[in-house]
Amino acid sequence: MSQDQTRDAADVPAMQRLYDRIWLLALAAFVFFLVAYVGWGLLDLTSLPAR
Amino acid sequence: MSAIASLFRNDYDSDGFRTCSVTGLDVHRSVENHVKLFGLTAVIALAFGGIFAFTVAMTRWEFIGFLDPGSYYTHLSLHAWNLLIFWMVFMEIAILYVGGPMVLGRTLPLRRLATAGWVIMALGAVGVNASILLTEAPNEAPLLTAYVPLPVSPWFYGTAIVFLLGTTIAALPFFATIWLETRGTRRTLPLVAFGAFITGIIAVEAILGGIAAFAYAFAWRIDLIASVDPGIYRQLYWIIGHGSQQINLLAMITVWYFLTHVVGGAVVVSEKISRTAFVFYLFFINLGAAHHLLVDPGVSAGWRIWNTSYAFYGAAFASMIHAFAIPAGIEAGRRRRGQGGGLFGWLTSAPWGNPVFAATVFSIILFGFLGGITGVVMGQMQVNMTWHNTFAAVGHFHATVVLGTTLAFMGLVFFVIKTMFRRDFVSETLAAAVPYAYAGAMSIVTLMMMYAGILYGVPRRTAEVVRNIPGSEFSFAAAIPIFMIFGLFAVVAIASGALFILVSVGSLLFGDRLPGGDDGGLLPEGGLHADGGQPIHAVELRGTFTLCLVFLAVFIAIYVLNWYLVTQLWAIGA
Repeated sequence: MSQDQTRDAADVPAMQRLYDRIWLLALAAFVFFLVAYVGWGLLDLTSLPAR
Repeated sequence: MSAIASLFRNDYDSDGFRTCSVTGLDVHRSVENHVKLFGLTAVIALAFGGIFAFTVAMTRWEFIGFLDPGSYYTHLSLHAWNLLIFWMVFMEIAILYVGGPMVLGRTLPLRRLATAGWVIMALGAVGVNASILLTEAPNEAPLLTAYVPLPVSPWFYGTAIVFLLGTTIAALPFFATIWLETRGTRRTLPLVAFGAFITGIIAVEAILGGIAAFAYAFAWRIDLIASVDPGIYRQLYWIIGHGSQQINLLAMITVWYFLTHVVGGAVVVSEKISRTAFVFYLFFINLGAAHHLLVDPGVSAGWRIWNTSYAFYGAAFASMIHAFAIPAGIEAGRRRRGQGGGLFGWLTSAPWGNPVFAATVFSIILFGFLGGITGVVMGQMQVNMTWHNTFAAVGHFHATVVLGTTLAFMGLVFFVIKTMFRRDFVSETLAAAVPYAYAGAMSIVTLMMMYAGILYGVPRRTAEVVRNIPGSEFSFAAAIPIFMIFGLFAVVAIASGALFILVSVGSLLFGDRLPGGDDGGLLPEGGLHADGGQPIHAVELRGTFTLCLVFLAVFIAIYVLNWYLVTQLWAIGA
């Protein structure tokens, strides 16, 4: 279904090189989720004035 | 016992490999046996949860009114945990092993860890079921939400954490495979392995969120901490509550690519486009969890709008890409084989009698039209108001995880029966009937749920649906005809699900063993072809283009209708 051979880096399109760096993509997505959903949400919740 | 042991036997070479007669992949014994183990466990969970589908549906259908309100929530909790979690997650570990070591032609690393993961998951699943069944006042059955400070048994939180830890352990051999495959090289993973990897990362995010939420509540229930902040709990909970369904989505789409290729002759129209869609999912799909908090206090409007609109549209866009790429792959593949005359000849000539193909394509169509569109509508801050906490929300997730994921997984189970267990179906006719009966009946059930919720405001979660709803002066009697249709088709859908179990288990126990080299009738006409040959841009894709225009027209119509319904909301009680 797919190309699975290794080639010289210069021959490989930029998008493919980016998508081949799967662990970097995973880390970036993880950080993005921690900031956009978890961090921002917890900041909102902990900023509520105490009654 | 010998019958069960025989299920795990195949003819392997001295290195433990054999060549699959359908996919052509070199499959190692260690991979195959673990896929079978997790797959069989998933089917047991499906059967158990299906029993409670019957009792729950027959209670919702007040014409029958099977359960009293006290028992209803217990049955609903068992239904939800076994079908939304255990059936799917056990299948998803099997899919990771297929998408990783099997597609890559490797042995399964860390085998003892894989088996230990299964044992811990099974203990967790049994524990969750027991904790729900043994719930006594003042504790409540948890359903999936188990919002604090609702008192739920600490055994439930403890065993749910055990299950999540077991899942993490079971996933490690998959990640080890991918690590070994990519270490020190710029190797491009096959698309199915790439999709499985994205599924795995989405799962890690969801599981960590689940462990955080349940550990927080568990600490409170065993008096380690005095109280729990409900807002923080809900925010953490939905990382797993919604994220678990995103794992289902990613696993389902990976299965779509795999099965449409193997049994339908599909090709990948554009690796770049399909991988881009997976990367969009990786970044954006889990943010959709925020749509459960759209009417909650505490989180800011900015957080809600960013996570459910601007960011989540990245995931909706990804779904649109897959919705085009997969049918386009089928059209291109079949036209290149000379099997596609006219606008839809490629589709009408497809192997509709093959239950693996039919289940996969019905899953694609029904997930897209019923589950995907409604998901975007529900995730939008204003029109969410017409759906929130009504029976329509239940209709939405039955469209996604039943018509979408369960149907796709049913196709995969049938595929595994022939390719890995090497058994013929006990009845080809009954096997072929399963996707038609199940998809047809569940579609009607799902639509009735949506109609009852949107058009009549029928609430979710209550045992009594149209009469005697505590604290309400509204009359829902107008929805009774909707529930008559719902109840009848629910019976047909559950019977179709039971037929799936019977055919699957019957085939494993009594099906003829397929001889070596026999493809079991699974392969498309002309056999399986590698990608290549005539360039894709030279192949007409007008059939897929037409289908996409129909899809967009339906999407716009439903979106506009829901905005109209929002304008009508304010008339209530006026």
